[in-house]
Amino acid sequence: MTGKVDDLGRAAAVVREPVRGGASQKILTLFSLVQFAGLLLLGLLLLAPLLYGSRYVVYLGTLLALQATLAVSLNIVMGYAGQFALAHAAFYGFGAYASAIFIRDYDMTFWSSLPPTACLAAALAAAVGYPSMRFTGGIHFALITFAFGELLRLVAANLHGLTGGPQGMQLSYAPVPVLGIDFGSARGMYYLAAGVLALSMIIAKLIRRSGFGRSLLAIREDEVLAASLGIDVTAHKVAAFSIASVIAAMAGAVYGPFVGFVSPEMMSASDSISVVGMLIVGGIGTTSGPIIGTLVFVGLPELLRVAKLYRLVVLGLIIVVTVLFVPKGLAGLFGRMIPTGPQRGR
Amino acid sequence: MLRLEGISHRFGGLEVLRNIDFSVSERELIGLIGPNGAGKTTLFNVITGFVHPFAGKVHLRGKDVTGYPAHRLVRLGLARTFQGARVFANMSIAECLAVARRKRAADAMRVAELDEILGLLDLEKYMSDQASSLPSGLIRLLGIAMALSTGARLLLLDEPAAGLSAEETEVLQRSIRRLNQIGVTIVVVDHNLQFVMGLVSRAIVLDAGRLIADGPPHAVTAEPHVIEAYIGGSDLAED
Amino acid sequence: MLDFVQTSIDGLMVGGLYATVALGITLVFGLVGILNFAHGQSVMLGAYVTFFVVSAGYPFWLGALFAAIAMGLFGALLERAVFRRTLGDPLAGLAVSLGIIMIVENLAAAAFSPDPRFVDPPVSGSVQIGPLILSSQRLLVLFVSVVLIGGFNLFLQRATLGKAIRAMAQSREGAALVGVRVPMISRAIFTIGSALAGAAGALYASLFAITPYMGATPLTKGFILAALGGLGSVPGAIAAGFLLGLAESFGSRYLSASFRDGYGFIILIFALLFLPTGLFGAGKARV
Repeated sequence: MTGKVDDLGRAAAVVREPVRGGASQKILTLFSLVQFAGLLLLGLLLLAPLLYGSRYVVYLGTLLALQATLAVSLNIVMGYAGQFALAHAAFYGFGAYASAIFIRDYDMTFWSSLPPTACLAAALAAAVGYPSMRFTGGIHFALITFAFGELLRLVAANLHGLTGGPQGMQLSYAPVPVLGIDFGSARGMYYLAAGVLALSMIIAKLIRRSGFGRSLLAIREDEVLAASLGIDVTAHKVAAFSIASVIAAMAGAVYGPFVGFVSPEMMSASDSISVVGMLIVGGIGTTSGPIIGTLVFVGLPELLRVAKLYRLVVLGLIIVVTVLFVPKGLAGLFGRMIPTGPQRGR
Repeated sequence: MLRLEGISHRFGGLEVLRNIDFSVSERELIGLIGPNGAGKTTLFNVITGFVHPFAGKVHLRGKDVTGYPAHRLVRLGLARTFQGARVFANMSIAECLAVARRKRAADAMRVAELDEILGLLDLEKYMSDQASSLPSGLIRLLGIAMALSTGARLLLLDEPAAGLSAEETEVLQRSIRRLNQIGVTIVVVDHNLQFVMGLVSRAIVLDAGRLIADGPPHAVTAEPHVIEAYIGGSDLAED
Repeated sequence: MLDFVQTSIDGLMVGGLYATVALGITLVFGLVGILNFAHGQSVMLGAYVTFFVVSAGYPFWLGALFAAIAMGLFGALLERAVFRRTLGDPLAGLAVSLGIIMIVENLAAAAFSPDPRFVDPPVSGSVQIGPLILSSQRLLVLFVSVVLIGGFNLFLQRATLGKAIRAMAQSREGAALVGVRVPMISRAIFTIGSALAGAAGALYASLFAITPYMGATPLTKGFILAALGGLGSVPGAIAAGFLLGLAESFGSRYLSASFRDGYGFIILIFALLFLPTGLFGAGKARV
């Protein structure tokens, strides 16, 4: 019998490899190269502020790090669990607002505002996720998150007393120095943002390699089959959504002091869709996909000074083209995103 | 092991199951048969937690599990397969099994037993292949292997032989018999009477939502009610 | 009591607007199976078309007509170029429609500038019926939406195309069997849905400010209504539309006005919690 156990041990090693689509070897190698290049580029970009130190580079690096965090965290619920979450920018904004309100009204510091913000974000995600994720097919969830994102934006715009209304809030606080590092300076903010990004990537990787992550992937492939194998599908989906949303909220909490200002505009549906678009373009479900997507759609235009509006139009075009024409299974890009088969009905 | 008490169900105004009562003991190998529309699929879904019955109770090992969702039932030792080769197409065999293995039933089989079963089903050489690249006969076996990997003691097979060649059907039959021999309780639902009757030691017959016969295959097929139920249908011939 | 009636009428007025948008959505999603989040863009563009027509000096009703026609064409274009390819897969359709939202919304913002625009309503002032004072414009919106809905229902009952649509609603296969050309009807439904959205956009323009980003709200509400009313169900969408209008009106009056748009969302959450088969009928499995 030991022979069989060895085989299964080897099988377990196979399991640790990332799930691949039916791509040919060549495309696979190309894609791995792209992945590697993406990570390399990210590394360079993140290190650049240390080397160059010009204010603009530091600013760009911080912005990129935060945006990439959004993409990486969204990947957890969209890439691994296969659910269209259309409220990500809303949680981003929620984190910024909640943290700012805790600091202003409850006398907390930046650091001490993070745990309650995280808890609130998790609670919100669960409250929205549970009713809608009970159903298979993902349509209810997409609809609810879209509506919820809008709702959060409207709440932020209308509760003048609490949130400053449509004009938003001016923020004049900065993170208290920790371990001698002054996170309030431009450099410090950059380190903080990079740290948040690194942390989110670690979390995503840990999930990917765990049994939890494997269950999520199974859910993305075929929810009903996963349930028949003992996976509590709803609980898993809600957990993935909550984790992703909390990370987005944490990024938002850093964004606040970074720009010194929060407004309902950062929670628009357009921004939520942008993050989805970044994922689609970069490659949903992959490790470096979110990074590549962010670099292309936030980094490049920033560097080229392309107006935000046109950048978004191009992003929209690329989404349409990707969804329609990239054949299923091409390096796992499209095939990952839209599973086919009888389980995806209405 | 499994007991159904007064199970009734309806869709809209249509009664699809009427007062079904039966029990399955450990280590039995049972067939659930009946003409088209008799309610087999609905009953199957009720037992496996995909449908909440309108009335009646389901007991698993003495515990009332009526209305439990599928994943909870798996943890209590019940697993099922699906019609038509349902696996995680884009994952490798090894990964498919690994997914199933996460959840273990309360008195899960020991690893060695599980390995023997997997060896039985002879899937080892395909471990790192993509699931969708397997021929359909093997995909059925993979589905069964996945269900078993959950550590289930009671296995429900939904039309496992549909669309298989004669050879594949025979392999399937042998595998199911062997699984039963080492202690797995199995209930098979299928249209292919030859397949089922040659395999099981006891047959339960449904017709129009009612249980009309329950006994050894040769006795059941001789019963007038059963013959009547099938007249007009083509189920007596092989699919 | 007076207050109650006043609030109800206000609610019905807005409800008619919502119902018009919901109608388009319920038909497209319910019958053709396309999850088109870009539907809101048709409303937005319809509003802009109306604005430009009116700014050029033409009467409002002409603007509304242009809006409906233009949006009908837009819908047909989208169906042909894009959605026809995603027919089997609602989530792919969703993804594509997200892309379309980005394209249309931002092109509009670039072309029209994000500043809000206003259209002078065709009628102004208020009408006094007994002790009630009602805004003429809102009455007109209610009237027009009722006409649109009523006309549409008539179309469903009498016109050949309408009957074909009803047949499809009952059973796609059955309709195909009796000779209904399903792909052509699907395109027709898309066109009509979009035209309705355009008309709704014109009505919106007469009541509210026009911005490139105004599409999100009617979209969200429209989907909520289509879902609550039962997909593909015309009476359901209409009833849901009016009910939402009422709910918002009463909520604003008696609870909190600034939370107005949230009431629909709350209703949706509760509906999801308590409907065991979800919003789209028996087709969904629960896991």
